[in-house]
Amino acid sequence: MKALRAIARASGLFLGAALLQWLWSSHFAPYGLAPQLLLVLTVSEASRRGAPSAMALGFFWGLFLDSMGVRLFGANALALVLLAYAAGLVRHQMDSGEAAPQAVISIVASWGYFLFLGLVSWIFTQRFSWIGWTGFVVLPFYNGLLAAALAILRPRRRAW
Amino acid sequence: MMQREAKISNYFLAAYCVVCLLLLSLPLSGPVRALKAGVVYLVDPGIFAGESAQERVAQLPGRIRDLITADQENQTLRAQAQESLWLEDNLRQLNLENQRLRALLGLKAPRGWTPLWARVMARDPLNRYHSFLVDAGRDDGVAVDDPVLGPSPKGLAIVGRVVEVRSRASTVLLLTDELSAVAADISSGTVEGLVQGQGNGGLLLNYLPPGAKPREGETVYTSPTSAVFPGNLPVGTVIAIRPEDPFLAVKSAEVRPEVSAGALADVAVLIRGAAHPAQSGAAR
Repeated sequence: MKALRAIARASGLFLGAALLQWLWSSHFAPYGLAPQLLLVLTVSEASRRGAPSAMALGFFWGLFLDSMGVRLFGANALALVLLAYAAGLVRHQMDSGEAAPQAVISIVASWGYFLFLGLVSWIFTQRFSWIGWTGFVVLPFYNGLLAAALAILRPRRRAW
Repeated sequence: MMQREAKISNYFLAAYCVVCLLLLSLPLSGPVRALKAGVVYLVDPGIFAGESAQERVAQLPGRIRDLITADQENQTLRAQAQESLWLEDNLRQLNLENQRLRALLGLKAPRGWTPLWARVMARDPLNRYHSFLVDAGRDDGVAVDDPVLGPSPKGLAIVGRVVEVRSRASTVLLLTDELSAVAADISSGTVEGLVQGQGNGGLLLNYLPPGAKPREGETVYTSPTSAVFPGNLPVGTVIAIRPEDPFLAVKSAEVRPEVSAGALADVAVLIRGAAHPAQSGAAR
């Protein structure tokens, strides 16, 4: 029963977040800027429930993001899995579930995410995929704000 | 507890990394394409349903505002029928939509091609200069390498080409992507070069012969020799001439795309030959 509830929760979270990310990035992105909701949720899940569940969600969210693009199928999945792992490590060192730590972790994770995607693109296609300076400077703080808001709004859960 | 979690995390990390690296290393293999098709199969219905719901939600405030206005006027002016005001408002909205669609349908597609109008359904801000998803697919007659055009002041202009086709949706590779290129002439029509995407929203007209004299403000058109795109369609406008490199026998110029792909809501996918049976009416 507990396993079924966990699977239902994970499925609902996966689908809901994926749709919300699509809706936000397609229809509410002024100047092409929309936060990486899936990245923020991956980091949040890792901080609250641990790396294993976050890595699973990050992997499938990453595949969803990769299916919307034309190449590097697997790059977003790899990036989110690594972020979830890193956030899980941080969780063991400090209380990362509060708004401020979540915001800082999301900001740093965003920069790492953009640079990592560029590096993977460079390795597999010999071209460094660069998001642009506007996105590189603005989006991490946008993600940080979203992470802080989520940390305040989401009820605290018992960790694994 | 923490050690157990760390151990599980390490195993998961290794497994996911292996899978992801396999996906990245073997993009064209059968299992990877099957996995991508599977993910698309699961995700596409949600996107279509979301787009339909979003359109309905977007209309709601207008309809609520119209209801309140009609009710207020009915109370103060009994002679004015509530229905005529309601119909007048619907007609105004229909007229605005009619004008927009007429402007789109008024744009003529090149001969030998049938335009299929489609909505831009999904775009990833991280890939805004690389690709987007449109709601026309195999069931509508779309095929890989079909040109995709967008409305511009100079008529239909190049946006990109179809690179992936699903049953009801297609992925469009934008001209501004680094992997995109199209044979092009400058407006004088006397010299031919290759327009290449730069990945940052701009284009580069490259491989111009040494004697070419491109000028700022000149329009760049697709060349009739292009294997994918019809000829004489606007591509962009020359904005700067790059200094000549003494070691290269070619010239290049920076080009601003005619169509800003980030602002597009509707595009025309050109399908070769006569209209596909599924497209009766062409416009969606």
